[in-house]
Amino acid sequence: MGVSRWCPFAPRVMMRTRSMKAAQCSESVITRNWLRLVFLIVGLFFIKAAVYAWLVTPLWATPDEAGHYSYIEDLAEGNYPVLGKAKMGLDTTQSWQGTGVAPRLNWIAQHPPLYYALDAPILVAARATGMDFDHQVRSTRLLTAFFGAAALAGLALFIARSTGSSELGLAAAIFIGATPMFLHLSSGVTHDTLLACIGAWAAERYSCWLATRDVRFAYTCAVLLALGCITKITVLALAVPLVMLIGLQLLLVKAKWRTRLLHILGVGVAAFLPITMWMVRNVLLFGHPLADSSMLDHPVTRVPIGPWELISTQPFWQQTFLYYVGLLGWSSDGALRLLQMSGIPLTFFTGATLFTSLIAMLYPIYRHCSSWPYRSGMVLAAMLITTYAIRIQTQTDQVAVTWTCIALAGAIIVTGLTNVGSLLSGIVEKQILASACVCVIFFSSLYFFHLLSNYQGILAATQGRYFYPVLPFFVLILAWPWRSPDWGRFSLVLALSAMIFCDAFYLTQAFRFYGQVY
Amino acid sequence: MRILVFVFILACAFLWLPVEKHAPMTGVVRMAPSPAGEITDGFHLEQVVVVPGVAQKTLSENKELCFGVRFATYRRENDGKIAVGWRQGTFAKRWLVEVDELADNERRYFCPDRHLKLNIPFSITIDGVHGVSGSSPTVWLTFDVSFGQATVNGKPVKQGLDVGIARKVHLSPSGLIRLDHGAFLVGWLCTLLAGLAALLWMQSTGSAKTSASEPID
Repeated sequence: MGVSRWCPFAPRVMMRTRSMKAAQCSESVITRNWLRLVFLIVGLFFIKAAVYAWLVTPLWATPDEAGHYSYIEDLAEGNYPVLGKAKMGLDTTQSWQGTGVAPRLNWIAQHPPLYYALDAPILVAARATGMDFDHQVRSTRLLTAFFGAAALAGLALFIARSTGSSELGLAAAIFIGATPMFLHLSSGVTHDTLLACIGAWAAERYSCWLATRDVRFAYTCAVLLALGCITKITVLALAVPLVMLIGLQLLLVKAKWRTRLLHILGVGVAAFLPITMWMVRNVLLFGHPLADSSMLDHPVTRVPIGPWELISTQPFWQQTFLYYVGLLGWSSDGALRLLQMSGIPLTFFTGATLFTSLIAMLYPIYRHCSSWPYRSGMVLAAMLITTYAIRIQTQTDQVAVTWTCIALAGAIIVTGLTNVGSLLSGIVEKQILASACVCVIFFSSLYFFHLLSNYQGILAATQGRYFYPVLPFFVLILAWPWRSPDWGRFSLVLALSAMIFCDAFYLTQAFRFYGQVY
Repeated sequence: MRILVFVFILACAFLWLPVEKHAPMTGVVRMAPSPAGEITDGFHLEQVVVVPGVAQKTLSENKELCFGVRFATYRRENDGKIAVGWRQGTFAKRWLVEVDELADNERRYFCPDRHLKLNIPFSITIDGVHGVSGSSPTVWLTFDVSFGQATVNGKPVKQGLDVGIARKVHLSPSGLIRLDHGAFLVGWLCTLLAGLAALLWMQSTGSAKTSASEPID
C-alpha cells in the first residue's frame, strides 16, 4: 500500500536512515506466531471480562456506572444529555437506589459522547431482543470488555516494538490485564478501558512514527488522540505533549519548510479539532470551555495547601496507587460501598511494582557496570529492599506503598534525565523512552496540581485509573531495563503470577464483598 | 521450562483448595470507637452479649455460628497471649490467642463448635496473659450498645465490645464450580490457558532467539 494513498506529502517526509533500520530491527520481534499468541491471550481476557460482566460484577458496582449507563440510555432514546439538565434514567435510579427515589441530575453528562455513542447501538439491539433491564445493562458492559482486550493488544505491540522484546510485550499485556482494577473496570459500564485502548494504540502509532518517520503514523496517532479527547477531556493532558513532540520531530525532518509546517498544522488540526468543537459548545452552553460536574455542586470551600504539605500530610500518591491496583465497588444502593484490595494479592502487586521501579531507577548505573558482581549486587539490593518493604507492610500498611510511589517517581525522573538528550534525535528506542517520560511527567503534574487546587480538606478523586491514557508509557519506563532474554523470561513469569494473584483476590475478597460466596 | 509449566499448573490448582471462612451476619456499628486499654497481665474485660431481636429473626439457627471481637495492635509487633472466654448456659469454652497473630482493626472470630445460640444471652471475657505495657494489643469499644455494655477491670463502662456474629462457611471445589453460574471456573480456565500458551510459546521459540536484541545501551 503506497504511502501517498494516505498522504500526498508523505514520501517527501520519510527519512530512511538509522531510524528505518531500527524499525526493521524491532519489527523482527513481531512474528506471526507471536501475534497469534497475543490475540489468543487477549481473546481469553475478553472472555473472562465478559463473563465477569455478565455474571459476577453486580449492577452499579463500577465507578459512576449508573451515570454512564443513563448517558447511553439517553443517546439510545435519541436525546442528547446536557449537563445540569440531564437526569438519571428512572429505571436506573430504581434499580440503583430503590423505588420511590426521584432521579437526580446526571453528572456524567459532563463527558464528551464518543464512548456512549458507540455503546448506544448495543443497548438498542439488547432492547430489540427483549432483554430485561438487568441484561440490557450487562450487554452494554460487553463493549467495555472489548476495549479492555483491545487495549492489551495495543500495549503488547507497543512494548514489543519499543523494547525489541516480544516477551516483554506479552508480559506487559498479561500483567496489566491481571491487575484487578483493570479486570473490574472491563466488567462494568465505563469509558476507562476505551481510554486505555486509545492510549495504547496512540502510543503504538507514535512509536511507528518515530521508527519510520512515515507521516501517516503521526496522523493516525493524532486521530486516536482526538478520539481520546472526545471520550474524556483528560486525554488532553496526553495529547498536548505528544502532539508537541510530533511537531518538533516534524521540524527536524528533511523536507521543505512549507511541507513540514503543513504537516505540523495537519497533525494539530487532526488532534485538536474535535475537542475544540466540544469546548466551543461548552462555552456557548455554560460559559466555560472545561465545564464539568463541579458546576452542579453547592459552592465549596477550597482549603489552601502547598504541594509538599499535601503529599507529606496526606497519602495522596499512596491512595492513587492503591486505587489503581484494586478498588472495587461504588454505590450499589446509593451508599458508598468500597473494597480496597489488601492482603497477599496487594503485597504481590506492590512488591512487583516496587521491584521493577527500583530496577528502573538503578538501571543507569547498572548499564555502566560491566562486572557481574556489581550488577548482581544492584539486583540483590532491589530484591532486599522489596522484601523488607513487604515485611513491614504486614505491620504498617502504607510503608511499602509509600516506598513504591517514591521508587516509581525516582524511576521516571532518572529515566527522563538520562534520556532527555535523545528526545528529538538519536536512537529511535531512546527517543520513545524520552517521550514516554515527558508524557508521564506532564500528565502526572497536571493530575497533581488539578487536585491540589481543588483540595477541600480531604483527599478526593485520587483515582489511579485516571492514568490509563498514559499507562503504556509508564509500562515502557518500567519495562525498559528488562530487555535481555533472561529478564524478559522473568518478566513473563512475573506476569503469569499476577494472573493467579488476581484470581486469588477475586476468590478471597471480591466474591465475598459482592456477597456471592461467604 | 517443563518445571515452570508444572509450577504454574500447581499454583493455579492451589486456588481450588477447600477453605473455611467466616461470613459476617450481624454486629454492632462502630460508633465513636475507643480502645479498652492494653490487654496486659491482669487486664479483665467482661460483657454479656444479647443479640438484638431484630437481628435474630434474620439469622438462621442451623448454621455453625461464631462471635467476633475487633482487636487493635497499635500497628506494632506485640508479644504475649490473651485468653478469650465464652459461656452460654452450661456450655463454656476458652481460647488462648497469640497476640502476634491478631490483625489490626479486624474482628477475630471464635467458633464454639455448634453450641452458640443467638436467642440466649452469652458472656465474653478477655484476659491478659503475660502481656506487658508497650507490647500488648487492645480491643475496640463502641457507643453502639445494642449488643450489651462491657465491664473493664471491674468497672462498668458506657460502651460495648465491637462484637459481631458470623457463620462458618466451607468453600469446596464443587462450590467453586457453581460459583456465579461457573463464572469463576471460566475465569480460572482463561488464566490457565493464557499461562500455558505463553509458557509453551516461550519453550517452542526459545527465549534467546525471540528476544531480538540485547539492551541497546
